[in-house]
Amino acid sequence: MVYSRPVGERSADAAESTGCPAGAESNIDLTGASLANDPDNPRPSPSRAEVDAAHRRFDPGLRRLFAARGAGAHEADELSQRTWAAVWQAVREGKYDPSRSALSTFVYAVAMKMWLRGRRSAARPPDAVLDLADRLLDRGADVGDAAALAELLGRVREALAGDLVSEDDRRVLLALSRGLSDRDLARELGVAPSTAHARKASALDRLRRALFADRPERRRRIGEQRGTGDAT
Amino acid sequence: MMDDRDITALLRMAREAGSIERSASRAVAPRLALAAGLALAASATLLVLSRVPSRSAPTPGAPTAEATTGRVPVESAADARPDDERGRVLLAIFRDGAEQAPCVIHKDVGDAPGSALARLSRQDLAQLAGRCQSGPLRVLLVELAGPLRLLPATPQDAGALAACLDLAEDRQADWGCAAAACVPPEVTVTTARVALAPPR
Repeated sequence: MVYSRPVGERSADAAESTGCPAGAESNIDLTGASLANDPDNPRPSPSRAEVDAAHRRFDPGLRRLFAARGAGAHEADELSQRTWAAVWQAVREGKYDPSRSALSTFVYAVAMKMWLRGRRSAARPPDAVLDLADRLLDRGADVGDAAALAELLGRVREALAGDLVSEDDRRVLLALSRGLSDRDLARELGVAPSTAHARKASALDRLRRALFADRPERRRRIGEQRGTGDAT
Repeated sequence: MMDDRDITALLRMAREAGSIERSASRAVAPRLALAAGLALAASATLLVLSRVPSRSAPTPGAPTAEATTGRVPVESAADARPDDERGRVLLAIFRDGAEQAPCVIHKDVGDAPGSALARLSRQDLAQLAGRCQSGPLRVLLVELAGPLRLLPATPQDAGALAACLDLAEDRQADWGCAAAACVPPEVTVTTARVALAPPR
């Protein structure tokens, strides 16, 4: 074997963790899994200091998320403030349950709600993520629906971390989470497009069953937030 | 029940939710001045490595850890070690083209001053690669420095830590910080990635 660096490929990405922010410390819940769904070990609500720490850690990413959705700096600032105010209010009122989702995932769900509240009436290009969020989140001030969405996303993050599905399925799901098309998925998996399509359908089906089939109460909870009695 | 489009949208949302955490790390990237010297040192070493003429033959029976999924065992070796003793561990996570489970090599590199990555010779890397069954195409090098009780001590510890690092691997822009999220804050992480050409 000859070691050589392919043309155009990064030779080395080096960094040292001492320069990472507090947000990169090891207590980041990478998967959201450790906080989710453990009724036997209820967790206390976060303190004000913990929410403040989360604000310091996640706010830059939150603003970046709003910016990626097309918000200007001023709007991103306003949305961020509304999001954190709603998060803190939910924590104070006991509407955020740490045993159901990681705080970062809850913050994301609330942020989606805030974004949609401001944009719901505005015309926007088709976007499957916003369409789904639009159906799962209402326009009211209550964040119970955001908590239910966060719980669902926590389970999806568990799946992406490999805790719910097989390694083969996880690879497919990770690729899909990056928005890969069937053709790109086939290329990434090194299989024919028809095979990739079949594996995608299979992985999605298994994820769907992992998310809902054994969790009728989850379906009901999300459905309740939408007033339909079902998650769909 | 949600259809495939909705489930795919959920996957994308989950990734976006994770991006909030990842962006938190990236936000202070300009503060990585301290890392610059080490990064340069690692790059220089890897430039040399790129000219390694041949790989040593695979060593039969060489210990090779298979990464496993699961929670990060950041303190799994903690109890058996003194509290204040420090050390350095190098993880070489080799990937092949078939994207099988990575071959994880775990090596204690002592506690000499300076980055062990910068001192890694081409022979060292070739020797490490030779311990993997399949011909690796790329390697992620992770140097962990800190209290011994917090460093991976066994191939099982190393494999589980590699699983967390592997999860973070797609976060290319802030890979070092993402890797740091897999270990306790007392542990310093230095990372480097090298592409390897396939056998000729």
